[in-house]
Amino acid sequence: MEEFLPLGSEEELKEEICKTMRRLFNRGLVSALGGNISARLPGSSEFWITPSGVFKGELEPEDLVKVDLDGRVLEGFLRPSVETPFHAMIYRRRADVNAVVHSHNPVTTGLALAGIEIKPVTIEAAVVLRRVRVVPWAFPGTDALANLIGEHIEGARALVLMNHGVVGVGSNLLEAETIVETLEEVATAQFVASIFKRELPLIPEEDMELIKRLYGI
Amino acid sequence: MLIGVIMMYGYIGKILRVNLTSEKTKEENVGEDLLRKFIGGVGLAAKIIYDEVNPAISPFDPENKLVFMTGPLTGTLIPCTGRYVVCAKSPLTDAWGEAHSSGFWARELKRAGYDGIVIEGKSEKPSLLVIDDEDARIEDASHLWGKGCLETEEQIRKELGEAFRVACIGPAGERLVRFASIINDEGRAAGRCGMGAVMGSKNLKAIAVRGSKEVPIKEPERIRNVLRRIYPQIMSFPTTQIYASYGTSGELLSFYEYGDVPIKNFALGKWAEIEHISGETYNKVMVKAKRSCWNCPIACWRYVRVDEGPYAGLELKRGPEYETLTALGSLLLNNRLDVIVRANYLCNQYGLDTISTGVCIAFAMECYEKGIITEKDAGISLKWGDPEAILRLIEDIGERRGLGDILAEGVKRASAKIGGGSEKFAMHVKGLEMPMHDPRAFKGMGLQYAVSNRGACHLQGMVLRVEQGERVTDLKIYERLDRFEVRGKGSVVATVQNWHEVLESLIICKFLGIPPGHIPGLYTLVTGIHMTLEHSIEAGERIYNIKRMFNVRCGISRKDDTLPYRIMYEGLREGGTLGNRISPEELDMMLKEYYMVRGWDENGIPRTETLRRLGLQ
Repeated sequence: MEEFLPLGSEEELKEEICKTMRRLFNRGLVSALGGNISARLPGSSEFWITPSGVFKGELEPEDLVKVDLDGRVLEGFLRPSVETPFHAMIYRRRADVNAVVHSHNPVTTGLALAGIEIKPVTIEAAVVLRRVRVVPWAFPGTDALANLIGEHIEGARALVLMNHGVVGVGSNLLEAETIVETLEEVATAQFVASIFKRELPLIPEEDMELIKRLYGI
Repeated sequence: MLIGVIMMYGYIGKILRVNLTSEKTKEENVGEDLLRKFIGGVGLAAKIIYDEVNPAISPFDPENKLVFMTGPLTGTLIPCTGRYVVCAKSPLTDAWGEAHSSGFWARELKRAGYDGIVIEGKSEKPSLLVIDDEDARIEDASHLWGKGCLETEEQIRKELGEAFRVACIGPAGERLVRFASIINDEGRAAGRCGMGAVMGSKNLKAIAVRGSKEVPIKEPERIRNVLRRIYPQIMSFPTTQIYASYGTSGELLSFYEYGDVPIKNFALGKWAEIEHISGETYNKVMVKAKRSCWNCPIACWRYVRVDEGPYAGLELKRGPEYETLTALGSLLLNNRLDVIVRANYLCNQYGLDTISTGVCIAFAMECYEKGIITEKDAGISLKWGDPEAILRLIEDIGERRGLGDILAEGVKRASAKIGGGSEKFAMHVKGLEMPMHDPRAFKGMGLQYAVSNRGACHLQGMVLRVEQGERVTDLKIYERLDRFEVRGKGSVVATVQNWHEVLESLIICKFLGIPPGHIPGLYTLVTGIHMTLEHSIEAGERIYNIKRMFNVRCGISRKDDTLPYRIMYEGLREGGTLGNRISPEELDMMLKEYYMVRGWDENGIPRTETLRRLGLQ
């Protein structure tokens, strides 16, 4: 009799984390040392997270570390991401979230540094990202950063971390990946437009109203 | 302790016990349960000394034991693992003593088939321990007695073969200078605590080792795969970059800005000549090449040659490090790098700890300045910065001649003998001379010096990194601590001390910029023994406490956890310490917090429940 991996096994989850990381690395959204990803099976109080300090472009499933919601290491031999505290915080606050992607989107981070907020320049910006909040600076890896993210994550899909990067969350890895990717797409379009034009043509007011009513933004 | 023969990884699982009195050697197996509790390196050495050395004996009694130990990572493909530790009851502190060195000797010992060596008893005549793979024998070393360390090593390698690695003592160790060092690999030093004097008291001139076996590793391929991918991070660590570029001298000027570099026996906060001995100048003027220990990507050693002046042509394969540049430089108001190199050479030949030597000379120069000793006492004028005086005193100490004979007892005993109020500027803790970081610049360092098991020690913790702003999230050190504040220091000092016990038990060099969280995993892949970060930190705490318990049995308590008068009562008018000192009240506050965090009573004695929790009772 043939044996199949049960759908949504931990092994598949680990494979998918590594694939996601490679895709983000190849797109330039995570760098050699910056960025981390975690995911959990729905309902679980444990999650798998990428290791700290390991070259991001070549992660393998056996590099991943399993931790509980207090950040305690349960499986794996490498050091879990330094940002484990904020991943754990998000899972504690958001039962609907099963995947967290923290990437170093250069354009999004650059706009935030310049004090420019992400505007509804495309439908994706309005619908997929909803409102993108900026989390003030806190030192990476600290409980202070985890607490700040905890305060901002309610109702959000994407956050920008000042002087740091972005966070996307989702019910699965593809959704979280989509968020940070869309964020960079929108930020890039906005950035390019802003080079040539001071006032950006946003989605017309009446359409935005419709979208807001429709999607409850 | 004994178990049957099972395959071990990382560890060899064997210790060589050498009795010099009976001239017998034997092998002992080490059990995994002991290794789980004490890891290896300094942890295992501490366990052996605690169990076997009577704390009441004199450090020079043949019953004192000299324990050389490597760790499970030593000599493996994990980078920066060429180090060993040597421990005994210290003739400087009459309590716990340990010194560390690097190079190739430690790897060779592992390749010969031993994790460590326990030296017992006393040889009737000068002797040489030869370990040629598992063939260990004691040979006559009368022809080597009296020779300098560098000559001794050269001679032994000529006689036995170039592949032998040698750790030896010089004339200072033979004459029981209390801060004599052990020198290996052409100038690397196990400098502190007078381990060379203990070796000399046993009439053991040298240990020559040659090994041909590979250290077995559980998962070499996985380790290679991980290491390849964490190198970008390791090599990006700020201090790693500095040590790679400049060696340890690279931080001299930045430490100076903090008021951390001791000047004129810790009496001045500024010195216009400091740039003459800076890392930049040193690397430009003296350094000819970079060298490294076994398997080290950093290469902090500096090969130096003096090109001009009276010492032109003098070469040191292992040139002065930060501690030596300052102990034989700014501490003595000596601005000449060539004199520092020459002084370092003499210390290496005699087998003298450069830190203690510098502190003793500074003490003598201050005595001279204050009229407590005269030119007649010293046989030479001891003006600050005088090259002739510095070099002459090093020789006098090494030969135990005149004033040198008094200084050879260490600054604590010398001051007791010389008197005249000199104890106020005798810079030591528990008898170990102060290293070259002024604790008035970083008060946590003051606490670290006060409580460290081996006396004034900058290496078991280096808490100033946290006071400079380093966050060690793996150890839950998140916040920068104000360097002049005393609150919170007790907890951080205990935390970093525990972690450093882990590093010195594994043994892995502290210059490798690898976060604590990676270490247990690498240990697991090397040994096949599962270790977590929590487990390793608890082992570090256990090791720290067993050393303290040895000290308690030697009579150490709260009264000894103190600082030199100058640090507690004299602030510096100029420089980066901004007039700060560590008052007795401030020290007391830090000690109270520290004892509480450690689970010790108010007299500094570990409580029964603490020992029970750590499995030490």
